[in-house]
Amino acid sequence: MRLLVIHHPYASVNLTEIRQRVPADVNVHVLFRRDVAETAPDLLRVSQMVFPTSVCEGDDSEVPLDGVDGVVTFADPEIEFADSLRRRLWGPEPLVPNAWSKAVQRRVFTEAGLTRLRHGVAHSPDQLSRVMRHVGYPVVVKPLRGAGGHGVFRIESAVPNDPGSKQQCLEWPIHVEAAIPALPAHPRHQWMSSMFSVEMSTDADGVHTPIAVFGKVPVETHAGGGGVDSLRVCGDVWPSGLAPEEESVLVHATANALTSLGITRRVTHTELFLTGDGVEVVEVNGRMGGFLARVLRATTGADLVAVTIRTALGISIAASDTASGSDRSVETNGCERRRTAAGFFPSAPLRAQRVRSSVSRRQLRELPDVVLVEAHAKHGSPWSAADHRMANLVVAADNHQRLGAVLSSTKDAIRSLYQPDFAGERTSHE
Amino acid sequence: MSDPIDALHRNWCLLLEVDEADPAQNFYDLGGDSLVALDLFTRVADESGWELPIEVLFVEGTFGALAQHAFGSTDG
Repeated sequence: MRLLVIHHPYASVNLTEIRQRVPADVNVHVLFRRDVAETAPDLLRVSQMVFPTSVCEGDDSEVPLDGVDGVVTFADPEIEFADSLRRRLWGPEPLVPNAWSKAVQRRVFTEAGLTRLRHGVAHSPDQLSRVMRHVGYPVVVKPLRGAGGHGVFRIESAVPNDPGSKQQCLEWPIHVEAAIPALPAHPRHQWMSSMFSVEMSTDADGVHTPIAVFGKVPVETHAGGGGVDSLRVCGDVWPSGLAPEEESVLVHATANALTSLGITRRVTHTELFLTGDGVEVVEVNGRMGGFLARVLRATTGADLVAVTIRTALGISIAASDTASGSDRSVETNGCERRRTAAGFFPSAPLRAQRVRSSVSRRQLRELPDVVLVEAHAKHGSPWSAADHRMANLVVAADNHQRLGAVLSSTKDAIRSLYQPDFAGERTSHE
Repeated sequence: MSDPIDALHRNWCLLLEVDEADPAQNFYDLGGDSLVALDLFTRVADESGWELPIEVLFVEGTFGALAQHAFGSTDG
């Protein structure tokens, strides 16, 4: 079978993982759009060494699809381009136009009776105050597209005249919705948040198979002026720590959201909150979640990348492909898998421009219970090059209680290593 | 020009920040990614003239597997 992978430097899966995880009977062809290839020549070169690789000079109509059995991307910026190719193979999917727009999703969820959250779209700073008043405070504002928590702000109340510098960080138009009345914390583990995510494989007939349910490390809140706070996601936890029946509620809500959007033949990443009344879907993303494959490999051995590839090719998913169906006692590379793990990416100082601290990969790897250092912020580089995160790590422990303690000590240790960058920074936790 | 195995060993340790290159060490588990792979390829080629097979690095990933190929490049 032949799979076309639309690649990008910000993909949630790198070329190494794709090469290692692709099933033996699948031939991968990597495609870069021209402007992406020009900004990432080294990535293009590596791809050319490992896969048949081509560069698309024009729009999607110029990409030959003869003999292609599936199209997938692991990168948010490429989802719509990949969708345009998938449309040529199989017709419209998702069935709802502009389904990855958060405004469209909120409208569709409302029409399907899945939410009663008030929402709106602001096209300019002038409109923002009006839309926020209409929605009702507190509100969360976020970009219409994209994931990863970038550009997400919580605004508690009307800000007199000038919401100020925060507005300059926003990309217009922006989505505004009422803040979800989430539970203050995870029902069983106080160090975790009440936010969760579901990785779901949906086949060509729209049948959903849950692959894994993740818990979340609490979002970091960076207090800004006038009650405008920047929110940063900073970690995913497996297992979720919920009881099976509680996970089923999340899976059911996810399936309803995916069905309402008309999604087929893809693995999606859906974020949800537990509230006092049940579950509220935050958003559906059209690709597997970032970094989650590494967390699953550290614990269950379930292979999210392979599942995503197989789903895109229309190959059935077996129970053993799901996190709950995997063999948790298997050893890998001589190390016994741990029972809980977290993808952990503590965020950088809010206002820092360049990394002042000198921190090595070795220092991070030697921290207790760190099992993988995927990336870290390097001295002299702009913080943006590190996605405004100090590091991307996988941390493991034998149970949730221990994992919570490990994450706390790991965060303190990393912050200590990057101390020169934190002068004058205020951070609090939600 | 350096011996390919020496060049591989030196740059593996340098780029992945390990003291020693154990045959079972896995490039990916040490945090290696596509761009580190290219850096390793370029440095080893510049120092020894040997072009390490990126495919082996991606698929097998261990220092031992690469070292075997490096040894093969000097054998005969």
